Amino acid sequence: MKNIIKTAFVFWVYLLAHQTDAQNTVSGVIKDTEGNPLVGATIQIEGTTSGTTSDIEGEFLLPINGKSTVLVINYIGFITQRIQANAGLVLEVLMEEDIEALEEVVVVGYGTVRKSDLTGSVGSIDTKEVKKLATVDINRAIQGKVAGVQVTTNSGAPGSGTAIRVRGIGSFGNSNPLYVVDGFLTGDISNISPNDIETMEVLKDASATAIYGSRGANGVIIISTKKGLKKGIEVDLNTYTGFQSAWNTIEMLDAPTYALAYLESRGGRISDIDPSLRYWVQNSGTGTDWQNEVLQDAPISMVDVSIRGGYKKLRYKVGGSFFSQDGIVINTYGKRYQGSVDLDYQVTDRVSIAAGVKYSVNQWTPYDNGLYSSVLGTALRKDPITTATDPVSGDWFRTNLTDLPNPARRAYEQQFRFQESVRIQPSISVSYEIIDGLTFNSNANWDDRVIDGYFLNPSNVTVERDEDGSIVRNPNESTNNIFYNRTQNELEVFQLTNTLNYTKKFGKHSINALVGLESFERTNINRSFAITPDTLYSVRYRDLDTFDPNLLDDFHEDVREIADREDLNPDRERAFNLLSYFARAVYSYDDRYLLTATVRRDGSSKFSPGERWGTFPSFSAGWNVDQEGFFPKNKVLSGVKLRAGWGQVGNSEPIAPYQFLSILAGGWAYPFDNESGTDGFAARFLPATTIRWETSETSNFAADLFLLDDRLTLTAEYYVKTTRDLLVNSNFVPSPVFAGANAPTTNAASMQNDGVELTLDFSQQVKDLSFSVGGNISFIDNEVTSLGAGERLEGAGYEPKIILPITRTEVGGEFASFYGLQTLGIFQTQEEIDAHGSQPRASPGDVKYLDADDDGAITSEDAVFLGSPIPDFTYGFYLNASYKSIDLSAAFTGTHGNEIANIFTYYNAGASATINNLTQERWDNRWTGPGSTNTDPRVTDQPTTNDIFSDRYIEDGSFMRLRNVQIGYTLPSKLVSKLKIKSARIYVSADNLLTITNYSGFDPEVGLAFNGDPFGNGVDLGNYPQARTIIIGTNIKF
Amino acid sequence: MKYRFLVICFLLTFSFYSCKDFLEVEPTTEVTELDFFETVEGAQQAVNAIYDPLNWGGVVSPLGLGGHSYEFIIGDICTDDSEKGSIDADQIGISNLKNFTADGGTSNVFLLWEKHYIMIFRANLVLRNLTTATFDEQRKLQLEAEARFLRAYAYFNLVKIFGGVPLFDEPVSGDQIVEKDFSNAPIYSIYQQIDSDLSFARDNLPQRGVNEIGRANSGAAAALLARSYLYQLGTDNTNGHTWQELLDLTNEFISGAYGSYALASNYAMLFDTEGENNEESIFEIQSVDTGVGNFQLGPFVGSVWTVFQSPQDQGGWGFNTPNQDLVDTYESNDPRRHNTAIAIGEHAYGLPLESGPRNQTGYYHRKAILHPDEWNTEKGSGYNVRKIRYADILLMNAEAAYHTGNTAQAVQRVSEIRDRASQSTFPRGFDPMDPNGFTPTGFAPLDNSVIPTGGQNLLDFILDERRREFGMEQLRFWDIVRTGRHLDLMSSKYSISASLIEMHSITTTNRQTEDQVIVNPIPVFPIPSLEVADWGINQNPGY
Repeated sequence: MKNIIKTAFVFWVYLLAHQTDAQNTVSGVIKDTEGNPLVGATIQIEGTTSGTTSDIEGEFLLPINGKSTVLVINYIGFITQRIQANAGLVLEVLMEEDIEALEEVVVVGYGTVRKSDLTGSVGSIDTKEVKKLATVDINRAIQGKVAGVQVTTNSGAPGSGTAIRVRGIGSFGNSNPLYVVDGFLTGDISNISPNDIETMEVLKDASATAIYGSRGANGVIIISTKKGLKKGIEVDLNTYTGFQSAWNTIEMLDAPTYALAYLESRGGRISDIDPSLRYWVQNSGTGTDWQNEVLQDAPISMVDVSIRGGYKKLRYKVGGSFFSQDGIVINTYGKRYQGSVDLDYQVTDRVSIAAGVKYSVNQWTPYDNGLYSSVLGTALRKDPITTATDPVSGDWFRTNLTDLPNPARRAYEQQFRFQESVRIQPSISVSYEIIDGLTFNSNANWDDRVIDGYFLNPSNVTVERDEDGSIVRNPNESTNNIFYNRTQNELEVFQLTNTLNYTKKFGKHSINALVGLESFERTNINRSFAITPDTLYSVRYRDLDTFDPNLLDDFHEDVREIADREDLNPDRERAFNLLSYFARAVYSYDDRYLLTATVRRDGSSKFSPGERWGTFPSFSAGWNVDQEGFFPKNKVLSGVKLRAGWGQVGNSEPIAPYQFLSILAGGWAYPFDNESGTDGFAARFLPATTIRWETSETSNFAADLFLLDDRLTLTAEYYVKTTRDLLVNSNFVPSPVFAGANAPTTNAASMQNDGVELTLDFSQQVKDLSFSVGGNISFIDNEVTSLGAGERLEGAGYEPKIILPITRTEVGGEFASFYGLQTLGIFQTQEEIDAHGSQPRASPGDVKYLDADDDGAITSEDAVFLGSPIPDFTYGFYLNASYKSIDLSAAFTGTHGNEIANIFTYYNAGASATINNLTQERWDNRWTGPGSTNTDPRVTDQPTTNDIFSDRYIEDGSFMRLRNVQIGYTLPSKLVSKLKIKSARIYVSADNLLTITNYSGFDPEVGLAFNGDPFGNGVDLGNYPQARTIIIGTNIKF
Repeated sequence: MKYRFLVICFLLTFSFYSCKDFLEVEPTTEVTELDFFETVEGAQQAVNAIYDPLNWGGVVSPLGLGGHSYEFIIGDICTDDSEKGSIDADQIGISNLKNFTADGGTSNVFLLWEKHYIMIFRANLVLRNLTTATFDEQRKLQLEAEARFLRAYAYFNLVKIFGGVPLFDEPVSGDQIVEKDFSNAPIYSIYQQIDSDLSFARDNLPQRGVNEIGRANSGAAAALLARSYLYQLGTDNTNGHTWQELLDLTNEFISGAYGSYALASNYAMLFDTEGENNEESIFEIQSVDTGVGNFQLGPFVGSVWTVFQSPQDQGGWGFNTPNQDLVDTYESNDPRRHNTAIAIGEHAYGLPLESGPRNQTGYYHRKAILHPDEWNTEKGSGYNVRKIRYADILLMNAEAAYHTGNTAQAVQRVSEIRDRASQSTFPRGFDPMDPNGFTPTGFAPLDNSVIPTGGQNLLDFILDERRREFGMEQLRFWDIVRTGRHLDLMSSKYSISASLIEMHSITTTNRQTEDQVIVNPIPVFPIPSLEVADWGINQNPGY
């Protein structure tokens, strides 16, 4: 292990080759790797007793005998160094911390354990990797870095989120893991700068997460941020700037071809077309490439500064960053201002107090993902004959060939809508070492997040042409009304954690015991109001038709002023409390045998009093085989560790509070007396009187192998994770609309995930060249093992026009698999239709379906399994290399064997060009007569059954992506030291430079559909794709 | 000493949280069902919420099915009275419904399905809690009657549009959803519940004028019950209603048993903003423009109804345009034509009606055109949708009188309707020089001597009079269905194949109609496909 760590560190000895006047002396300065001088290091001449110690500046001067000697430099807690020294030289010695000597530790829940004592499944993330991506979303940065952790970006829109799955779908609700940031349990880490992260660990199995009890069901990611230094001062400056672009566009029909497609859709006779539309079919012009119209190359940049230092008993850190990006869809942007202060004061030898505050402001334009109205969606659907604006009047334009909003107008309006999240997170903690080894810790955290949404609907005029060519106002897309909506979502959390920790070593026995108590209170308040036009008109911009976008900021300020005067009574308040008791014991004997046991008891206000408490235990054991006498230590196999664990965790996260109560909410008004609305109260969902804790149980078996003198490490893990009583939140429980309310939240099902994870890392140094390669691969099997009383759950019925729901969850199958009709090609002739029998109303050129139940008709019962959004395996691999001052890295990530339901093909590869534009591929492959093709049906606007959900929508979602590639150059220290810079590096980096996939949509990374619906996993509704980003950046230390 | 500190620390923290109240978190902005029905005020608010869906018509919905759905899509457009309007590509689903080429994915019936079931759930929740509520019995009866009126209102629309649909008299339970324990109820059993709800409401609701305007009253319940009889008589009459029943009920109504109603003197005023809730109004959907957009479904109390149907150049989208066939049924001196189907070139509020790509019939729906001051394309208007007028009682009475042999009474009722029509002025602003005036027509009164004195001719005349009187008021579809004329009219006027209509109709043969009396074929519309695919109920025939 030791060697691994060594090589992971960058290690320099700079021989500054200038002679001093003094003969037969060496002098120099001793520093740690962060550049702080080390006081009192001993410098000894090897084989003698003569030596000296470094002074307050870390400097020393030592007379030597002869021209050359070997110096031995010692400092407690650092690795001893031997250095060849010639008389007259001035040395700069950088001492590397001896992690082993300090007992290399891993952060686990409520404390740390020595890495060698670790028995659970914990994946560490190299924090250097986190910084490489041009994003502030730390989740994106860990994609592909840890075996068993799948990260999917839901959307490339600025401000949008990611879906993280630790060992598969653990819940039907939010399956995102818990984050523990410096002891605070949270679901959102958007207020942390990637540069601030000191360590990052992923706890994967239940024996590791059980200490978090009901919070850790979907894995735990523990983040420690950088703190102050013992002494001195250090300034870090990181910056980058670059641009993003769409890596993929979809080939749609151009205007003249579209005109042909339109005519063919309408049956081929120009006289059958509305007189007002006929003109456009005959005079298509060059039209518009809508994707080109709404996509752009967008700038991205970041500046991050942190100052860390220490003075006497105080350690401090102050940091801040500014991140800004425009979206690749025009008029979208994201910005983040973020800052933090951390103070740590050693009151006495035994008592220390720490306090800190994190503050962040995120701003972004919320991207409308609606199938009908999204900018990219309409860009793929709108007829290409329409131009963005009418060339004569300058108003927005439409031809009415397709009944869709003008994509350019939709894009323009995005700038009038933005969201802003302001978050402040103070914390204070006290640590008191009562007696040696026994420490009391109390940690209080507040978290207040206010997310404001400012939505302006500007007035606009869209025109069309009359039969005689005159310009008329289009009523569907024009409005004189301006209205302004403001929504506010405030989230308040208070967490108090008290722990008592005892560590003791006697003889070969070592124990670490912990007991603790944690309370967690969370309140979520929604507020909203709409400003009436009258109020809005009192702002100075009366005419938004001629609105100058440069005035937008002023406008928002003005409206905010009005908004602040409005009464913001809560529309809805949701609160829940959690109370937890927990304990852990870690025992090790002679560093050979390791045992860990934890237990946590959680009470949640989300459950009725009878079901309120859950107890979640875990046990795990490890065996450091290489510590045994019989272990033949050799160069090939240098170490072996075996681990096994079992544990249970609970979960109440997927559900909203109060679900066990039948509640009525106001806001359903009716205007009696024909006056203003009188409020009415109604229930939106049925009560779930019997819900209880969702429980998952994991067994984990693992082996760690250290080979080739620890240069090669291999970890293999196998786990079985069984989740029972899966909670499904009311709005995701499928229910018939005729019930008139959402179904109750339920403990719907049981599910099993089992899998194998392999991680391999190899590093080597050959003279000036050092490199490391490695990767991880995770195989996962998912099976639904029970569904309670129901036979199956159907989901993702977003587009009723495709007649069938998209996913089915059945016992014995994978969760939310795709089910639809099986196609058998295209009917070529009437005889073929007659022979088939079950589609009597079909015409030649229509899709032929398999009558799976052979009942002579095509119905929902003919739906068959069409694939699963769950990959067979996911992987990531990397290469890092450095040669002298140049470093290079590349990281790949990918999935294999998953399917995507590309629902967007309903539109752009649909039945007819009268509703949407079509892809070139759809047009080229359409049926035009017997024998013409067997892949795509005829193009017609007559009602057909060709759009029913079938395998025509299913595509292979496998991909491999070069997530990041980076090349850097560290400037010679000679050069930079003149500028009082400790080190400086410049680099060029590219994200998503290369994506290998057969998927035809914008992006094969398809996360959860609408609102995070778990039943809509892998359903593509025309997602905002991820950008290809190329940046140039600097890392400078002062 | 040190240990003492430790003990104190722990005891303090544990005792602070040991009280179990920490885990009792009750909602603050919402109320539990148990608490809610303890007071009359709470129960009343729960009843208010049943009314709320009445004025939904836009594209959003709380349960996931969205689309533009309005009763007139079926009641007017799917008949020989009017055409879809707008351009062909816009809301093409409506054309498919009319031609019987639609499928269960057609969004133009979604909200008609959904909003009525939301009303039903809300009504059933109220009814379940009223049985155990402890407040004043009289108030309980009234609230129960209101809830049952609204439940019947919702089921009546459902059964007319979709035929046999799932029937509930209590809230759907979670177990039912898990077990998918659902089925289509036979039409007659839905009508049984409608009849029973409406009878109860008629007997227990106060007459109009007691409660706020817009609330159900005994007159509304009696009138809706009369309609229920009328439709059953011509469609599924397994429940064995008779014309005599309808005659008695409407006679009672006319005699003032359910409140005091009268024909408004000026037909033109009926559909003007000033005519809201007038002496002729039995039930109308209340709407107010409070500036709230129609996407905010709950607080929204406006109507998108007018926006959808108004002419393009008058702030609307130009749907539901009356056709020449309807216009031709009016005598030339009948002012109801101008008040129903206003022609291009004529004026409303002083503004000319213009031709354009969104009008292919030459006429606009005058009853939906708003004053320019009220044009509003986003929020809906404050225009009330008239649902039942006293004129309907009179014409139902005429039809019942005819069928029970009281032809003189039938002729009398028709004459009353025609006499009132003759008094009508032009609609507001017909004269461009007087944009706010109701200009007299100067027409000679309608000639009542043309009313046949008996036989089939009289019945035909009554039905034609209904068409003239209620043109564009969403009654035509069910009038031609219940009188057995739908198939002939639609196949002759629109060349829709008769077999296609039959395929989509409930008849004595194509449905399990044993022991059921199907008087005339009942064409039905597609049930939203996801409801059928998932929940064990049957799709309607032919879809």
